[in-house]
Amino acid sequence: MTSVGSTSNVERPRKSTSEIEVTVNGVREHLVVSNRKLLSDVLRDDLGLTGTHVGCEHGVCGACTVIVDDLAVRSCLMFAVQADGSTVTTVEGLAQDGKWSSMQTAFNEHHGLQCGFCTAGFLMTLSKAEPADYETDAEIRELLSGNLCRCTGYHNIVVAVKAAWGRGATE
Amino acid sequence: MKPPLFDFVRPESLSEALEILSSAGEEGAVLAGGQSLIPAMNFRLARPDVLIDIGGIPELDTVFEEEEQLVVGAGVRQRVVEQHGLVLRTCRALPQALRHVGHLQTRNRGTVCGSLAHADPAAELPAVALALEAKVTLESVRGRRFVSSEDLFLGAFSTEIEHDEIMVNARFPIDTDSTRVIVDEVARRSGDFAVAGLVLRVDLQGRTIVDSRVAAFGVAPTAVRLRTVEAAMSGQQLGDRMGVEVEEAVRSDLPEPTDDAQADRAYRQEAIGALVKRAVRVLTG
Repeated sequence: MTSVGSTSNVERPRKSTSEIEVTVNGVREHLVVSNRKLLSDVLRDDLGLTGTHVGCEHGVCGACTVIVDDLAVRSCLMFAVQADGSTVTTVEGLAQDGKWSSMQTAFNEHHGLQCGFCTAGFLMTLSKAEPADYETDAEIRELLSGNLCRCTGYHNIVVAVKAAWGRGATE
Repeated sequence: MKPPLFDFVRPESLSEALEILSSAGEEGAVLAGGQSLIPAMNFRLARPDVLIDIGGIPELDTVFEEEEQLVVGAGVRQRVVEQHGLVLRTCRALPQALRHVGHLQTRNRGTVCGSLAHADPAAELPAVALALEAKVTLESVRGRRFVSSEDLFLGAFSTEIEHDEIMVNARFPIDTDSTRVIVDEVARRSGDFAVAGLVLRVDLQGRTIVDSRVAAFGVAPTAVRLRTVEAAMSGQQLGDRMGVEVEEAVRSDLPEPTDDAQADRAYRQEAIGALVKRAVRVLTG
């Protein structure tokens, strides 16, 4: 097996890389990754899917949130090699045929983002949320408590969520 | 920062995992949820040469009842336990505590056993284990042993688990009809590490507390039982007077809680006292 990204004849320790197969946004990818690369690194650097952002790299900020096997997870708290055999969805996978999801549209229309750094993480968390489980504003905020935003103050994010879920603007 | 290079293996059976862990000497680490280990590796606080992913071992991915105990396997995700029908029926402390643990996204990957093995002083689950007097099962190529939660936690991020051992499950006593549990904490934000927290488990018959177990977390290098508080509550009637008495007992049990950048000694002492009083108030109804 050739080493990752190398064209020389120098033999490198084989044990520190792995071959993986992972389906990302519906596309099956076959990759050779360094074991120490996080899923966030591989999505961004190896697959060019830079919509997933890296804020804290220790699981607190939520900017790196993606969907792995139907669950919202921190891509900075998974090694890419652990995604072998899995299905991953990133923010690039939300739009269908070039058309934004209703949540993306709502964020745009209701100013649910400013700099946009945290936005992908919010969208991915929301993509797996069942609206019926979050009836009140407090419950929506609790759902989103794992995604930090430094710009908006969260108010318009909550407004956008309720708009996307077909609810009125009032608390 | 990124971790240094390491070998990654994903065994398909427990015996295979134990063999690999044994041959790795002190250089192997077990990867379950990774929500605590991976940040530690990213910061290079942990630098294993071999990472053994136990996520693909079916026998570790089980939750079942056995001999009056709820048995939670090493591979079971926190989010699964939080919503699991059997857990909700038999061990209410776990779903209650798990609401406070990290965030939904970390609970989708993190495991209950992993949290116990990690032994963070501010973590909720070690305190649940202490308050319920839970046990863990440790296995290695040398055999199997059971360790009580009292003996498991040695210090901050330090447990009785040997280098070649895997915690294969945790065993929690089943609730009785008269069991009541309260898990509460003080944290800057929902989901943040607790500055001070409490797991209170009582056996309530009418208005009388027949038996009481109280464990505090976030206030010492490990979770701690508050034995004076327990004694002050046992055999007593619920009511406002109990609140005052147990608050004094807290000072006796926690003369010197952790003092750090998050909070000083006095704050933690007061916080635990307030949490105990609040719990008593909730039980009183």
